[in-house]
Amino acid sequence: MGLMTNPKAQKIIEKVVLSTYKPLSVLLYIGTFVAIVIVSSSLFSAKTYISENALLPGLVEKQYKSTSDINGYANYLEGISKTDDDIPMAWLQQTFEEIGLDTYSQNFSASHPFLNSPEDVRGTNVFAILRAPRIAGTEAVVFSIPYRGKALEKKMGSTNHGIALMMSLAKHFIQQSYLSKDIISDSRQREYRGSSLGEAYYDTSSDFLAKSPLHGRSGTIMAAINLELPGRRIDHFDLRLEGLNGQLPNLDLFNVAVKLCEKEGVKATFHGQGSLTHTELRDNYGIRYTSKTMLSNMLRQASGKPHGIHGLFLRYGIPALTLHGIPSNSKKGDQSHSIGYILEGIFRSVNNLLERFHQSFFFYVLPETKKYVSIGLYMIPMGMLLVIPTIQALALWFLLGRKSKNIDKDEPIGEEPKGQHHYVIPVLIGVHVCGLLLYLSPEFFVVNFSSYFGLPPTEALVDWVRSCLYWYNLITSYK
Amino acid sequence: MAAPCAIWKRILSLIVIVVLISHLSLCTLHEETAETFFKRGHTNNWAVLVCTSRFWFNYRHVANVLSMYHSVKRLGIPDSQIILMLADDMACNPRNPRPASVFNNAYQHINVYGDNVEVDYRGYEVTVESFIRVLTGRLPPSTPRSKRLMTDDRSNVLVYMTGHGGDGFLKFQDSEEISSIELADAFGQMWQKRRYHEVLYIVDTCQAVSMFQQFYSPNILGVGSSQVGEDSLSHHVDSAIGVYIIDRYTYYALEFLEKITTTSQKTMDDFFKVCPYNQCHSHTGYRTDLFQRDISKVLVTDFFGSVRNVEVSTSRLPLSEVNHTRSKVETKVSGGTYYYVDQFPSKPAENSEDKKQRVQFSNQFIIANTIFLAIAAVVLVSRRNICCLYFDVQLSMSLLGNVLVCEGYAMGNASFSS
Repeated sequence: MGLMTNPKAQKIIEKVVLSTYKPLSVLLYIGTFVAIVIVSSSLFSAKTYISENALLPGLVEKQYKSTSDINGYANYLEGISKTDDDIPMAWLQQTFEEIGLDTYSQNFSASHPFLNSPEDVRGTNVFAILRAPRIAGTEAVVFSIPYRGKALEKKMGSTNHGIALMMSLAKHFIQQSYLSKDIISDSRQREYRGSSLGEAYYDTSSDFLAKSPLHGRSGTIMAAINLELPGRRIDHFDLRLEGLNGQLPNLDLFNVAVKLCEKEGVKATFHGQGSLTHTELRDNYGIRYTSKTMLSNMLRQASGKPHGIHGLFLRYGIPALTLHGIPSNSKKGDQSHSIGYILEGIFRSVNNLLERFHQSFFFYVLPETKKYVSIGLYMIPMGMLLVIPTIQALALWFLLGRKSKNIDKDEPIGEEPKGQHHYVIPVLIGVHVCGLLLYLSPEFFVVNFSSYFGLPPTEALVDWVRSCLYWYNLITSYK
Repeated sequence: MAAPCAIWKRILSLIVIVVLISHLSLCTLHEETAETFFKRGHTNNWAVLVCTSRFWFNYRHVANVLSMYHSVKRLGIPDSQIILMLADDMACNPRNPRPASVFNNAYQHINVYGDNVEVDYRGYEVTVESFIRVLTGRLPPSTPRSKRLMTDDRSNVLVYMTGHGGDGFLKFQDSEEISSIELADAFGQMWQKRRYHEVLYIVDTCQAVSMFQQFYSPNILGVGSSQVGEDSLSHHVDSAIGVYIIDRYTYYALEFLEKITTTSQKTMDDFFKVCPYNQCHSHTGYRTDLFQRDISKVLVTDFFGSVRNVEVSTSRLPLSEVNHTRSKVETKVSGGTYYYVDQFPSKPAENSEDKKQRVQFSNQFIIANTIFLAIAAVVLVSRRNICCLYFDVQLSMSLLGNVLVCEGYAMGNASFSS
C-alpha cells in the first residue's frame, strides 16, 4: 500500500510513466507484431495431436465403393446448374428418397433490414436424414453442401460433385450397421444469406428470416462437415475453420480431417499452407510461411465473417469445418474414391465419439496444418497490446493532476487538488457525447458500408465495433 | 591335567555332534510334513474376472476378460464359480460392425461373446463397491447366489482385472477408481474371513505392479503386465472393427494357456515367464513373497483349472454332530479338538503362554547357542579353583545375559525364521 499512497513513490511512478509512455506504447505496438510472428515459428508452436481417445481416425478399413451413379448425379446437376439458378428440389428429394432417407425441405425468405435490396432473398434447403439403425437417434452429424446454381457458381465455383458424392456416401452408409449417429445430408441454397440448418433446428426466431417449419428431426448435432467439391479431381483440400465472429471448431475435428487427408494422399492446407516441408523449415524455421498463415488466420477471425457455411453451425456450439477442394489443373483421373474415403473416415471417426468434442483446444491459431499455437502462447502478444491503453490512461491521469497543480499553485502539497473536478467534468460530458454518437452511428454505418463487404447486418455491426476499437488503439498509441 | 582335558574335549565334541544330527533330522522331517500338508491344499476353484472400463474404444479390455473367461471355463471352472464383471456391452454397441459378437483377434476366429457366456455384473453394476463386496462377501441378503463369491478357506481364487490404471489405482467406469490399498484391505478381509486358501491376482493395465505392492495377506501371488512408470500396450488393431482388439500381456498369456490341459504339469514358474519384454514392450512383474509354496511346484491348473482333490477319511464322521455354524472357532471332529491356525502369524500374541509356544528358533541359532552353552559348561566345570568363584559368578551372569538377549532376538524374529 505504501507504494500507492506514498507521495514520494507516486512521484517517481509519475515521472517514469510520463517520460516513457509515448515511446513505450509505440515499442509495445511493434513488439506485439514481432512477437506474433515469432510465436508462429516452428520453434514455439507445438505439434498437433489427437486428444480424444474415442476418435481413432483411420484405424478402420475403407469400405466405400464409388459407383457409376456418382457420375450420373454429377452430370445431371451440372446440366441443371448451367441453365437454372434454382435448386432442383424435386430431383433432390426424389433421389434421397430412392436411397431410403427421410427427406424434408424447407423454404425461407430473408429480408435485409439495412440493405436496399430490391426483393427478399428466397430459397429452399433440402435435407435428408439417415437414421442410425441400432440406436435411438439421440445424436446426429451433419453433412452439408451448398447448392450454388448458375449465378453463384461463376463467383464461387461449383459444388455439384460434392452433392453427387454425398448421395453416393449416403447410399453406402445406409447399408452399414455401425452408425451410432444419424447422418443429416443437407444441401442448402444461398450460402450465408439463407437459413442454416442450425437456425431451423434450434428454431431461433428472427425478424428478418421467415421460414417454414421443420418437419423432420434427428438428435443433437455433434459435428458438421461442409464439403465444396469442384470436380472429379482436386489439387488439394483447403480446410476452413473460421466461423461467425471468429469462432473456431474443436482442434480435434481439424486434426482428424488432416490425418485422413494425409492417409489418402490428398494434400491438406490451411490458408494455402500445408505441413511445412524440410526445405521450408530450413529457411529461418519457416517463419515466412507460418507467420503468413497465422496472420491470415487471425485476420479472417477478426473480420468476423465465416469462411464457409460451416461457420453458421459454430454459433450453436456445433464443431464444424469446410473441406474446400481446390480444382486441379490436370483433367485426367478420378479422385472420387479417395475423397470418398476421406469423408467416410471422418464420419466413422466422429461416429466413434461418445461425448461432444471437448478434449482438445477451442482457442488456438494455426501456423500450418500440423502445428498449433495455443491460447497460452498467443495471449502474450495480446497482453502486450493491452498494456498500451493502460499506460496511456495512467499517463492521462497524471497529466490531469499536473495541470490542476499548475493552476492552483497555492495549494499545499499533500492535499487533493481541488481544481481537478473542473477538468473531469468536460471530459465526462465529452465521453457521453461520444457514446451517444457511437450508439446512433451503427445504422448509418451499416446502411452505407456493409454492402461493400457483403455482410449480414449483425456481423457488420460487430465488425464496425471492432474497427472502432482498432482505430482507437492506433490513434492513442501514436498520440 | 592332561587326562581330564582330553575327556572333556571328547564329551564336548559328542554333544555337538548329537545336537547337529538331531537338528538335521528335525529339519527334514518338518519339510516333509510341510510338503504333504500344502500339496493341493484347495478343494475348489473360483475366478473373479473384471473389466473395469467402458466405452467403445476400450473394446480390448472386454475382449481380454472374455478370452480369460473362456480359458478358465475350458479348464474346468464352472460358470457358477466364475464372477464375470463387464463394465460395457461391446457386442450391442451401435458402433460395432459385427453386432452381437466380440472378437479377440483380427482374424476373428473365435467369437468370445458367442454361446454360453454368463455375465454376472454388467454395465453400471461394475463399481468399486460391488467388486469389493463380491470379494469380501458383504453383499445384501437379496443378492442371488450367482452373483456371490461363495468361497471358503479351501478355495483357490483367480482374480483377473483389466482396464486403465495408474500408479496405485485402477480406473472403474470413468468415474471412480480402486486404490491398491483398498484392494489390499479387501484381500486382508478375505483372509480374516477365511474366504480363500490361495489367490492368484493378475492385472493387465498400465503400471500394473503398483496394484499388488500393498498386499499384506498371506498366500497371494501377484502378476502384473507392467512395472511402475510403464504403459501396458495393446497387441493389434482389427481394421474391420476399427479398434485395438486385445492387450499384449493377455494375448501372450492366452497363448500360454491354450496349451494347458487339466493334466498339464506346467507350473506357475512357467506362467511367470510369459510375455518377455520383446513381446510385451513392458516388463512384467511378480510378487511371490506372500506365497507359502515354492512356485516352481505350484501347478498352473491350481488356479486356472478346477482339479478337485478328494480327501479320503478312514474314520467315520458322525454327521449329526457336525457343527454347521461358523461362529465358533472351535470345531469338534471325531478324534480330538482342532483349532484354526491363527490367520496372521506375524501378529504378536497377547498372553505369555502363547508367546512361549510360538517362539521358533532358527536352526543356526540353536546350533550356535548349544555350542556356546557347551563350551561355557566345560569351562565352568573345569575350573575347580574356589578362588575363581568370583569369575565364575561373573561368567555365569554374562552367560545368562547372553542367553536372554539371544532369546529376545529370536523371539523378535520368530515369525521370519520359520
